[in-house]
Amino acid sequence: MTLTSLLRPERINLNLKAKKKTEALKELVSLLKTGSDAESLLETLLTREELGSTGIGKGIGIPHCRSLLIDKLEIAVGRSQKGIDFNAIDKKPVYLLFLIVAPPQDPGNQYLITLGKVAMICQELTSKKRIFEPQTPEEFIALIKSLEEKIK
Amino acid sequence: MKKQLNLLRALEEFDLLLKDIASPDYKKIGFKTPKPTLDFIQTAEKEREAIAQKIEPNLLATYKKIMKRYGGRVVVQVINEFCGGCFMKLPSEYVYRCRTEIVNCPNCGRFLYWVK
Repeated sequence: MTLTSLLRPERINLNLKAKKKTEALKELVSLLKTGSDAESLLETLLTREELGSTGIGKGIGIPHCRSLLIDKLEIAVGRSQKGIDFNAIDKKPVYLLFLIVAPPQDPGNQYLITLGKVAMICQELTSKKRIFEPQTPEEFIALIKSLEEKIK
Repeated sequence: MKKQLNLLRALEEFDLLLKDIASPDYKKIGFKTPKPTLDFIQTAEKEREAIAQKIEPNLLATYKKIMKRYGGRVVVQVINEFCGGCFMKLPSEYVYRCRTEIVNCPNCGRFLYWVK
């Protein structure tokens, strides 16, 4: 399964308004349209963040968790123009966030495979210029597709 | 009762989180995972305890029992009237009741969780 096949334009917000971690995660969770379960999902993500930030440095964060509230692996993407205080490992603001949520029962451990793929692609997305190149969700998916083909 | 079920779900999600962090695959991804320092262990224990202490003792005991027996998947989704743990077809009454009450699968005993 390719990462591109998991990305959907309606789950990409290239203009996050949040400046803090909790607000940013809230905006990302809302993209998954889990309705009344959004609050519980947010709590699980915040619990993960308590154990160590998922801000991997160079302006990128990959918040992730497993949750019974969804029935298949879901990805949401958010980008902030001004940067988010995400308590990243390099202490710098985060501009791009990939939210990955998977159900506990996960055939073939797709969750960790996807997490690995996102981390690899993020290594290619090191420049801020590259992160801000796409203007629409479709352009963003095209960028990820080209990077995915490059690292194959 | 739904609140208690949500706490059981949160507890299992936390246990899954710790299991994932400890897995070699997770480390291979390149995440700077917290080292098992005393500080990390204490934080994790504190987080887990905060959830566990809100759960009724009898439910927590059942959680532990199922966790010991199956090694995970204690709270499972109801998938098209089937138990998401043992995949046995559930009586319609159970499928209906699990939306508002704590119901265990009559076959495997797992807690049933209804997802819209």
